[in-house]
Amino acid sequence: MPVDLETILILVPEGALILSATALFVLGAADRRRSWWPVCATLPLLFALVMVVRDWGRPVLYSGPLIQDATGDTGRLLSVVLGLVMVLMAWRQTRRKLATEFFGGLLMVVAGLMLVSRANDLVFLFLGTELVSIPTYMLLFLGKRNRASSEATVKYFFLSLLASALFLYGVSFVYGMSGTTLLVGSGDLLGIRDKLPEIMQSQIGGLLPLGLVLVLAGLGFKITAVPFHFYAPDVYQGTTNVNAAFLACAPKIAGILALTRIVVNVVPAEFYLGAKLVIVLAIVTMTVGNVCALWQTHVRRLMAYSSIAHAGYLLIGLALGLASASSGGLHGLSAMLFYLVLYVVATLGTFGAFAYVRSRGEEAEHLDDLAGLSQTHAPIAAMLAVCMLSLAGIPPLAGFWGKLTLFSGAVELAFDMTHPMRGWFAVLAVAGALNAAIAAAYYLRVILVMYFKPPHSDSPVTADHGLQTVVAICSVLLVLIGADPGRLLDAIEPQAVRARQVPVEPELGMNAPDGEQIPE
Amino acid sequence: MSEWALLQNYLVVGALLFGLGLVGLLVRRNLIVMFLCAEMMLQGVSLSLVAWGRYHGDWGGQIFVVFMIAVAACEAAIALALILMLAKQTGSLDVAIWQDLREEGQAPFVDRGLPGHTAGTQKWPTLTPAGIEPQADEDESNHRSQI
Repeated sequence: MPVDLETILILVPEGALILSATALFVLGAADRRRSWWPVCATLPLLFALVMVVRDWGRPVLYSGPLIQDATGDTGRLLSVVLGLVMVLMAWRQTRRKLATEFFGGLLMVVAGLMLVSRANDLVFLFLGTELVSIPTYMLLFLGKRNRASSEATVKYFFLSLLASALFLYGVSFVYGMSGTTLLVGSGDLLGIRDKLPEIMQSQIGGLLPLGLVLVLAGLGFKITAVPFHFYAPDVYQGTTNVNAAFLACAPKIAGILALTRIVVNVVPAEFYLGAKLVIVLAIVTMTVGNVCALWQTHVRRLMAYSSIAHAGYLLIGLALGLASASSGGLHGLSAMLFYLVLYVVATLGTFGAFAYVRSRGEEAEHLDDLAGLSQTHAPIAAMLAVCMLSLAGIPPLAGFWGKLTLFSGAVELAFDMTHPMRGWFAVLAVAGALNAAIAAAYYLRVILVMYFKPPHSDSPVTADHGLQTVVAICSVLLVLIGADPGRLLDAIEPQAVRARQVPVEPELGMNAPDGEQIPE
Repeated sequence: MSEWALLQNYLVVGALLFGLGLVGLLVRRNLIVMFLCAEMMLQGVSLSLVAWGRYHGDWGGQIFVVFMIAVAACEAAIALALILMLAKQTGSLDVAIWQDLREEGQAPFVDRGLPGHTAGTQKWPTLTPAGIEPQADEDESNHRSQI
């Protein structure tokens, strides 16, 4: 039986989150006082955190539609922490009447992210990603009640619909090739991955590129990869800082985790089209993001382009994972997860600081609103500078190690004389390095404005301790990880590799060319 | 007819539905019609999933479709609520009015209409009035109800 009690038991934290979200929605109608709803949202998140930490590092387990491995553990921990930080950020920033809806939606999204990180089944993966998107529409609409916010919601909603339809169509081809929705099989159950060698021999194997492109398109929207990035600047600009922080993190985590699950498992070892596609996407995405960010003056628009650029860096990890599947090492994927964690921490800190700064009674909008922040609010300015420097990848901070792991992976493949794609990776490494240099320009510009421009007379802050705590936590984390990056990387890496090694049956060894992999 | 040929027919119809929906979503400007086009794309996907499931003799495809329908229902609920709110705010279903957020220095899109088409010539169907005319609610006619 594919779904047994064990499977249900490892879903306890997700179930608790969804139940409490439902309770919040229902009970919110009865009481509109705002003071204790955030507490109600924190409790299930803390419970989930305890459960996730307890499950951390357990042996790899395939239980039908669910998988328990390092990628999943990292994804779950990251999503629960994201949920807690978002509650802290939104504690006093949400509108009084809509607090329960906001926090309920947030819990749903966290549950969706946790499902995506554990999914080993196409249906599960689809449901998880939708559980992330659907509450997101609601959160966007709840943010502010003005024209810009509505416009942001419309743009996000329709493009997200389009993206999920593209993703589903791609998934239908993946399913069609293999005849099963299971990604990696266990025991008697064969997954898509186990059937791949057989599929590539048959006439329907030719559908793989089509399915791959469509899945990449659908998930590319979530991570704001370039041909699908158009919504990001407008949506971030139109919504609130808290929502923008949320949008920059949650869909990106979902997209990256889904990409690790689907693309890496569905693409056979010697099939380099996928890697080439991802490399082109990565280069274009970083370049467009960084170059367009150079002339932005609106802070959230600037951060939107920055998040596009970071999607490009993340895709380097995916390309590494795809291209090095044959050589067994999947350091690319763990480097991608590592980078994702650092990106999320730095982005949350940045948006937290933006939300903290007010000018003329409004949220900080333009770069000039940050002018002289170092004189008016020195601690916040320093912490924002830490986040900016980390995003830019300046050495002592965490972001540098993230970029280093990714780029060194690409350089390693570029110097691997036997690798058929070494030229591609050489170009990728050069493009990455150039982009990191371009990116430094606009991150440093923010710091320049904060430290060297005279302050406005009227830039009070919100005196919001939640936001202060968030910014402080994020910047301290960035400094700590920067001081000792090995610890976090180790926590992600060895298990990720182990997870890849376990399901591969000896006779299906990924080293053999496709033709010799058919099990008898 | 062989299984493979049968499958191809279903896949072609599925792809047509998906393509029509895609073109519709990209071309149409009415929010409701755009949403319906997105639903049509999902129907194309459902059809191919079921066809593939039949080809492989596997129930997974049909189960997937059941979940898709459930998710599409959630999306429809959100979409209609959202569109209703927006229509109440602006009094229009045209998606082209949402263009305040854009890159600095980019010219706005101006609707010039179709050549030779004037708004006045269109005759819309009306319902024949029947029964007693309801009393006008003054409170409601003075201001839009709270959103």
